[in-house]
Amino acid sequence: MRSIRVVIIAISALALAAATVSAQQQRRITGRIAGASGEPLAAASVIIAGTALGTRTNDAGEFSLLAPDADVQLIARRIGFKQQSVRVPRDQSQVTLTLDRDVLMLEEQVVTGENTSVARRNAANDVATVSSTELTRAPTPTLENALAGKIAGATVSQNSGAPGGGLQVQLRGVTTINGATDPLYIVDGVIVSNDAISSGANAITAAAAGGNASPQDNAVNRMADFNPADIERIEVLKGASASAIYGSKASNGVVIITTKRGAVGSAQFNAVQRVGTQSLSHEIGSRHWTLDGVYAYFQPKTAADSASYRSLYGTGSTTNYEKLLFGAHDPSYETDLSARGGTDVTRYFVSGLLKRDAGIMSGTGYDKQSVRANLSQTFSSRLNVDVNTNFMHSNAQRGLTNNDNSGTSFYMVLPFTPSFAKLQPANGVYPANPFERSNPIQTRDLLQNQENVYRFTGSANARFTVFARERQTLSLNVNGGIDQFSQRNDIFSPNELLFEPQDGLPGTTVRGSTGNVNSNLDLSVVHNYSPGAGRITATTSAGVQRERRDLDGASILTRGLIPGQRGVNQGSSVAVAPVRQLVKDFAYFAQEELLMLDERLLVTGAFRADRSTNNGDVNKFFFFPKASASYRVPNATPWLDEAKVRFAFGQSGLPAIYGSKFTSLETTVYDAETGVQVGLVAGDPNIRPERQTELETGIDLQFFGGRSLLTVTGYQKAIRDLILLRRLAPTSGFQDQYFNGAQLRNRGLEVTGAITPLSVGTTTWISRATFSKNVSVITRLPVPAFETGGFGANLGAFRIEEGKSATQIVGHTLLADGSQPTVQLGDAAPNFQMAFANELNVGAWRFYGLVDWKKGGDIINLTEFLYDAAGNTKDYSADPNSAGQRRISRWAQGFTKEYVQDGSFVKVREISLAYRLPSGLTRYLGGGTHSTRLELSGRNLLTFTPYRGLDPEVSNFGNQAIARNIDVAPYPPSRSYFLTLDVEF
Amino acid sequence: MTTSTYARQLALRVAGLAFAVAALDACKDAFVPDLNNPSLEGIITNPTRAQVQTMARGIFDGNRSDQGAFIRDLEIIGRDAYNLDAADPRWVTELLINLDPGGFGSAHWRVRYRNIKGADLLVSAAGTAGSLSAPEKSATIGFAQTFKALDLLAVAESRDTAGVASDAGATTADLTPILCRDKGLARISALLDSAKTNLTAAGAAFPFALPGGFAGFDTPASFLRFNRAIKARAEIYLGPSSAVHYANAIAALAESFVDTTASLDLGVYHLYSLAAGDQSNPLFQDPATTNFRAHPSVRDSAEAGDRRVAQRTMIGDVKTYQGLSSNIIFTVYDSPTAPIPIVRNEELILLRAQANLGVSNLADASRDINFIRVHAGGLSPRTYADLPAALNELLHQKRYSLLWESGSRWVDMRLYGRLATLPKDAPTHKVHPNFPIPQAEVLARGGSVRCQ
Repeated sequence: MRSIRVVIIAISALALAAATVSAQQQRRITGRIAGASGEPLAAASVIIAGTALGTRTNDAGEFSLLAPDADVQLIARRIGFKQQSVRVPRDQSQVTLTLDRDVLMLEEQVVTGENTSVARRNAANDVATVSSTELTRAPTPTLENALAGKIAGATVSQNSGAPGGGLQVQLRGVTTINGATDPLYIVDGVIVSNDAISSGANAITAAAAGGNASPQDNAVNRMADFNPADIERIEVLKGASASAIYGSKASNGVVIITTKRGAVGSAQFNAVQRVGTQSLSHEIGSRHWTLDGVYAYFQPKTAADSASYRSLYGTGSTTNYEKLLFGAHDPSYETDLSARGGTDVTRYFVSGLLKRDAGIMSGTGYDKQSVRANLSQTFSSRLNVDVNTNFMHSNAQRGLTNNDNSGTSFYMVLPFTPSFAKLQPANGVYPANPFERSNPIQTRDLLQNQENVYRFTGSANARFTVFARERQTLSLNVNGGIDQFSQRNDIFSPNELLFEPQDGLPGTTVRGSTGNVNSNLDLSVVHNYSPGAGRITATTSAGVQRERRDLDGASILTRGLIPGQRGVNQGSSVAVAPVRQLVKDFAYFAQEELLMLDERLLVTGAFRADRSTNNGDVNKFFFFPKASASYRVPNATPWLDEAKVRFAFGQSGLPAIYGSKFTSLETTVYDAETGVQVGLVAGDPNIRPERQTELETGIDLQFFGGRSLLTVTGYQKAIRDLILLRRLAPTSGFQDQYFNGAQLRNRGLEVTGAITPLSVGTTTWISRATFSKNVSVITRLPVPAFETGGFGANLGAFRIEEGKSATQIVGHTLLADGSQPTVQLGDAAPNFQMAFANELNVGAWRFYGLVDWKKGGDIINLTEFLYDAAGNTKDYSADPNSAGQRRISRWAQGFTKEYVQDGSFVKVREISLAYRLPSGLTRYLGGGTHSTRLELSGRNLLTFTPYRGLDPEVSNFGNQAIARNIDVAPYPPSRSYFLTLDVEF
Repeated sequence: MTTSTYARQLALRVAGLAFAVAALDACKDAFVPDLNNPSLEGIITNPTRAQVQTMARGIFDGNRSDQGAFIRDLEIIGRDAYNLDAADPRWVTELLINLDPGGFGSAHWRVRYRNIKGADLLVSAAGTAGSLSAPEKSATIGFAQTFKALDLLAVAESRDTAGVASDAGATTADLTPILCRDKGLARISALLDSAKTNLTAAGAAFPFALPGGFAGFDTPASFLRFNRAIKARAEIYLGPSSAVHYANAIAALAESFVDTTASLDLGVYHLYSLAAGDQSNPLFQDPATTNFRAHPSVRDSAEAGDRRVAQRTMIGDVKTYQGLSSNIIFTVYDSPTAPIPIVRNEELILLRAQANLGVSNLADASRDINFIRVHAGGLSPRTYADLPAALNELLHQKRYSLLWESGSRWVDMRLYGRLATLPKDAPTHKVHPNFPIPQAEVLARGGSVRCQ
């Protein structure tokens, strides 16, 4: 550990040397910051260029701060306004500054590292940001839903329509084959967990039987817990060139979330009340059966059989079971309350959330409560401390969905249940389903599947200014936090459910209990040096980071329950499945940023070294370098305000898969004695992180006085040391062995454009568009091509193959010679994605809409396969040429292509119409309110797609690096409508 | 010292301390052991008696882990059974039509070699175990070899002419030869003899407890009788190559527990239970909803009055899937904890008849066949005009005596070249002659495998 000590000693020496420099003579500057129409701007930050000296304005837009006793450059900024700077000569002590609105957010700061940031106009990377207003324009079930369509290069897809989340965020394409799929999420400096812990519904569905062991329980990934209304802004580092500073955790990108802070001034309250409902947005439909059709399909062999089918058919009266099960319109609501305020010394932001999203199936829904308190304390002009705390609770009731092998999951039962089946309960008795093992109405009414999560996230960030002089400042930052949650899953399938005797053990209860604690402690120093105004600014930062993640839980499955009981000790068969992961990481980093040539040229160099207990060699540090440069040309032409070219290079990693270094034995129990056996997978004692090298280049243009901007970015991500499972000869006793070996490459193009076509008085129209295209290819595969995900090539599967797209879908086809090779039939990756957002403000009215367009991207539609196999598809009839019959018979001949279908879509993601009540009316209603807004909004109101399944956003296996887009009996999608009252006072 | 310099120095010291703590912390504590499972390295050298016990129990369990699936698949291919599971069409499309070497066709291979690997590990571990006496080492090795042979025999039964890999690989990269059918069976037979040698030198007791299904066969001497029963099976499969093997089978049976004065159910069983971590009987499903159905020919071909039909099946609701339908439900196992035999007396009597037919001893064969007719079927004895007539009767009796418990019908029909006589429910259906070598094995061996 010699190298760390050297760094520590160097940092300490630097700090001590600096501390010996005595404080210099100072003077006081006072002033006022106002908007274009003279209104005071509170909470604007005012700093002295090249120093750490700064303050914020109060409610009246006034400020007062100490400055060096010399000529200084004063800079004023506020989110939503363009930055202004002014030279304040030594003898001037009074300043007034006017800021213009920055509708296109041209001037925000973007993160470049731990405790360092740079103005967007200088940034060498295309760092996407999403602001609080963009997040909350339409009510959102969870945070990730609100990101869909807002970031070029991010694919945000839901796994099903179930209330309570389950979404995947993928940045710039596939970055791993077997590793973790989610980006690194950082909330106020805390590395938070996005674990998805399965509910244990597999105990009911038996989905993982038949050789396809995989989490098909429709798990929620835990970013769902955070309240979007608390968030000030989100910054997204999409690839290694930006995320290298997060080292071996950052190959999937980094999502940095900053929550709202207090502001100097009297308390400002915001109350938002939303009420709404939701409805099934798409039905699959089912076959119209005739009695002859029934005979033709079921082929009764005896007269008694025929009579029994005739009686089942009855009068031919039908029930729309999809609508019956998923047609609920229960009320949803959301109450958000927040207050912010404070003094020069103490500032606070507190908020509370109360939310219920009802499900479109009765008995399902999502309740969430959250309380946040963020406190900022200025102890002295040198020491600032932020403390952020957030307590969250959620309860999700998610029903029973996705694949099964037990005839229980709703959309697994519906394909086999013809519309003439009579399943409605009479006098509390649910008739047996003559066509499947369960009556879905009974399952809906009696089966419970609940997930309760209690979560606390807290962080403290102390910033100590060791010294601050006109030419150099040195600050020391200590940032630590914990993120803790405990998740409890309760599944109760009572004895009387018709499917329950299947295993001979009527009654099933599953209780899962999982705790997770993430903690990290970061220490860093930032040194700022600007020898002369406009010439050069050098920012040096260095530090260490320690992180620990500890996941510990167990799921108890009890079967053969005493009737009416649900305790885990109330049955005849008990099984326990534990889960345990402990990871300890340590890293150090250093970064140098040089802003030169009158802030035109920014050059950055950095590295990070990471060590992790997940690696084979736990003491080895892995280095991840970064370098970037940008050059901006202000006022290039009269209509071109500014142009910038940028280039960035960086490396980042993805941790070795947990446990991949161990060759574990499996433990078993046989006749009350334990035994050990060779496990499925052999470990690799030399396993190391996957490594991504990204080159990103782009050009940013601003036109027409800040009314228009265009950003074009091209990138290449080459990833090597991808961890693979080498398929061993099964005669080795093992199935697979982990090793680092494969390489893949993503190349892509992202374009973001924004324009303000109209800005006259109170009428503004802002229009944004994003475009992204990513192409992946497996460039090296030292193992034979292999299938991953899915249910075998016959039903469509993903295939990792050198020279092919990482997300290609393969299946069987029948050739003229009768052979049935496995060939590429599609690709889950879209050809491109685009999104269009428009906001039109006319007086008190605001109209906003977001349209998300995905072109291409194929889906394995096994839900339709099930309907076809059961002869029950909408387009299936006794006619052998009917579309349904044709599909299933072609599939039976060997054409898997029938069920690999185009998943293109255009979705109206968000739409809202808001009206700001006249101030006279609001005063009449509520006294001194600042503003009252009424809003009608909707999410996913319209979907245009050729896809015949429930929804083109689907993933039977949850969040997956590769094998998304497998449609097996998902929870159907819904559209939601809300009426919102938003009051600020 | 002014207040501000004091504060500054204090803050610096605190920060310096924090850095030091972080740095120190980084130097220690950088190791996390495998928190979830025991490690392979921990048991393979000089194991304790408790570790030998755990490894041995793992081998019993490893053999049990494929028992139900093996019987189910062989019974389906042998047209004794269907699995009409609407959730997975492959029970029909693969087992009755096209067996995919990467799908269902890969079954009963890795799981067997895993257990063979476990047996190899136990053999080498036992050799180094200071905690075991020399006879106990022999006992442990004899046990491990017997189970290795039992698992290899299941591979030979499912793969037949495709071949059987002689051993599990010593390392993850080691590829052991794929032996052609008769060479593979000869290897299994020799392994059983080697096990016999070890069991004979093994003293009075095993150094580990055997599961309850081995009651009566739980000392080296009595376990040897189980070993000989397996030997008889292997030799009978070799019979068509030379009648010597039938004689070997008769000799092995004489040392087994075949006994016409004992219960037909005397034998060795795998137990199932609902205890935490244990396995329940995979061939049992609730009769009201079961997907496991007997092929209609089971009742159609039965001899009137054969009481095994009513013992082993009953009539329930019709179940239909993919054009197949059956209302015959298996009643062989009445609960999820019912044991499944590995080998029992009834099979051994039939094996003796089968071996006697192989050496043209019609009289002894007829006596055993009729013993089963009377005692298992409740039927009257018959006389058989010639060896073929007796063989037909033997195969018929074996089908009903071992229905839904062994998969022997498919193996026997193949042994006598009669697969074409098995009933096919649709023109597209096929009777697979054997499971293929799994795709993963073929790929690991360069894309093609030819037995040697």
